[in-house]
Amino acid sequence: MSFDTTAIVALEILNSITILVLLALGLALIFGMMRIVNLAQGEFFTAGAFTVLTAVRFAHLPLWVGMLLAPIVVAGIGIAIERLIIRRLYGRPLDVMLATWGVSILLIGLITVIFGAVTQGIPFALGNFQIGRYSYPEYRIVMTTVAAALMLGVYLLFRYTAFGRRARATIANPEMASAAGINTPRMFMLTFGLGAGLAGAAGAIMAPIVGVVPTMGALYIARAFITVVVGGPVVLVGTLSSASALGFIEALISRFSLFRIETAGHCAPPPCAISIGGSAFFGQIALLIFAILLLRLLPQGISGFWRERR
Amino acid sequence: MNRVGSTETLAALLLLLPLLAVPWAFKPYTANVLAVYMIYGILALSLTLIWGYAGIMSFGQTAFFGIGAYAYGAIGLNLINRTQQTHAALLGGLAAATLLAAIVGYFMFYGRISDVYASIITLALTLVLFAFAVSTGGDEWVIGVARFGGFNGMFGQGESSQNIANFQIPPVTVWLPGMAQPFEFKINRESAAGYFLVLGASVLMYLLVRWLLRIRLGRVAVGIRENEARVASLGYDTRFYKFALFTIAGAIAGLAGMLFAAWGRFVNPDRFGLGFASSTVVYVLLGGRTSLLGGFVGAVIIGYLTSYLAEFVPFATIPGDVTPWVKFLMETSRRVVREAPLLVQGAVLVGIVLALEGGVTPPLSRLLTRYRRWAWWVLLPAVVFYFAQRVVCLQADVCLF
Repeated sequence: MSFDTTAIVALEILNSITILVLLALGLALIFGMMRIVNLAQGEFFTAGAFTVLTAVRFAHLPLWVGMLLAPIVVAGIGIAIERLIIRRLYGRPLDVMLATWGVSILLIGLITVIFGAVTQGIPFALGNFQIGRYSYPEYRIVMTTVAAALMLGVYLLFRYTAFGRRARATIANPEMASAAGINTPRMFMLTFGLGAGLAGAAGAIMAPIVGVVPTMGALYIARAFITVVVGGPVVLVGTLSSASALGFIEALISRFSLFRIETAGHCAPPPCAISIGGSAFFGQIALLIFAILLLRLLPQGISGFWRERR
Repeated sequence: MNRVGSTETLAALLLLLPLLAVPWAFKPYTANVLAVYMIYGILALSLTLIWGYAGIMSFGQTAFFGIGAYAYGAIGLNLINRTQQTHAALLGGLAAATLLAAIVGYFMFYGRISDVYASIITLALTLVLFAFAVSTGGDEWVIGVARFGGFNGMFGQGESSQNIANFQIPPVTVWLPGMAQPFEFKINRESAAGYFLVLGASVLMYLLVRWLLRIRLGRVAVGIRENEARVASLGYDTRFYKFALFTIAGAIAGLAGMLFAAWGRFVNPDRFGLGFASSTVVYVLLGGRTSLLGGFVGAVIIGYLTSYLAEFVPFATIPGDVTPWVKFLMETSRRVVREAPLLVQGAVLVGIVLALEGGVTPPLSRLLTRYRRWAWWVLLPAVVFYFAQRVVCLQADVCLF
């Protein structure tokens, strides 16, 4: 493989990992810290994208303003949902999952009512750069940078600030934390809001490169959940390691065709063949199969495995 | 006759007598609609079994449903013109759904992943299958003469004299030795065989699940739901019991899928979609997750509610002389009603989880037990009378109501 092909494949792997990190970070935070399976996370992502759309199309703000607004708006939505619904269901993980699914469906319905069921694009001004024979979108590098910054931000927030210490104490032992004077319901609320805000940020960042449509969350939620499940209980390390492993597989299978199966049928030009591998869809299939195999070996996820080994 | 027995007989009579009379009491449209609700009910029953009794929330029942439907379609399309029956398609569809459930179940339960992870894996499975079914629009996606067709759904493609002709998935067709010609289970003006096939399958599956819950398999499953560690410490291999029940539930969902493909003579990627997966969960939740009839009840309620809302268009014409605000309100309400199926589903999910945990069937059956005597002497005769007069009405055009 020549240098430029190697470089472009490496960049595509990096891009896959970036997308998985963006999708999974907020989810992993909510799941890892609060043990809540939030099925409405996909719609938080959608809400982020629609915030950008509203800002750019209807309020005529610059793109970056919309992208800064999105996490704030979505965090607000998340906090409202936590106060109204999820708060009543702590300690009933299955019911939380169902209720958030209901919220997810309601949000899809509401967004469709407001914006209509059409796919809309957001224009942006970045171009491509050249690597040998290939050109590659500059925006993807921006996305990787933002994903890295978000991860670093979450790490610093939970490691070094008073909020982070209180939140971690609340997660580790709610009664004790409450006895020590920490307002635990407030901590749960803020953690949930933060997770929702991260999903909003992901939606905002990905909005220019995907079609913005009310059902877009469902396209990404499966991959986000697989990443979180494979990552295991440690939020940041787990997300990064599983996104790396899964993103690697996904990008490779999406790029390279493994083999072809001849089929009957009426193709023009005549030889009909299905190529296994070499499209985004087979990348996703490979991701799922790989994740299931991995979970058979490491039921606690990657980070759970390492934690047990220590 | 003990109390429970008599209520059960009563409930069975109240449900089965009208259902048996439907093809004669109403136009074929009603039988057609009820058949598909019962098919959804069988699907919901499989979820009740695995979720309500084994405690494993599976979002993936629709995956097995869809696989059953696609496999039935593919095999049926290929063989119907050669063998004139769909025996192999029925077996193949069932086998495909069972096999997929067994593989996924093996990896999940023998991998000892937790129940929440199992839910997520099944959800991911459904969504990936959706992505698969959607991406098969190209000309190369064929099995024999069966085309996957992407969004358009599966159809057969054969060459007639000049050009390419399309044909539909066959209905359930039986040609046993000794029969002069093949028999098709269809629902139309002449025949309600398809309706009775679905009704029979529903009753059979209901009895099967009831029996499963009585034998050791079901009792251990309930034990696992209540306290897995304790059941394991009594020496039961809980992995095997979960795996077995999950596979059986997958097979039941697959059966429902085959009936669906044969009923509508059509299957498309929507069967793998999030909307269908969520409506199945809504049926079970609304009907009551530990009640075997619950799924059927939920399917009928939601089915009629959404089809009623789908026909209902408020402010179909907006007059030109209204103020912008009134116009905006009218347009908004029209949009809300258009999205009503989604909004209703979401609201039901949230509402039931927050307020009515057992669903509607347990309160209904309590009512029936309490007013048993009234039901025997007033409700049952009234129902019988109503259906009898409907039959007369349809035959002789003498309608009372």
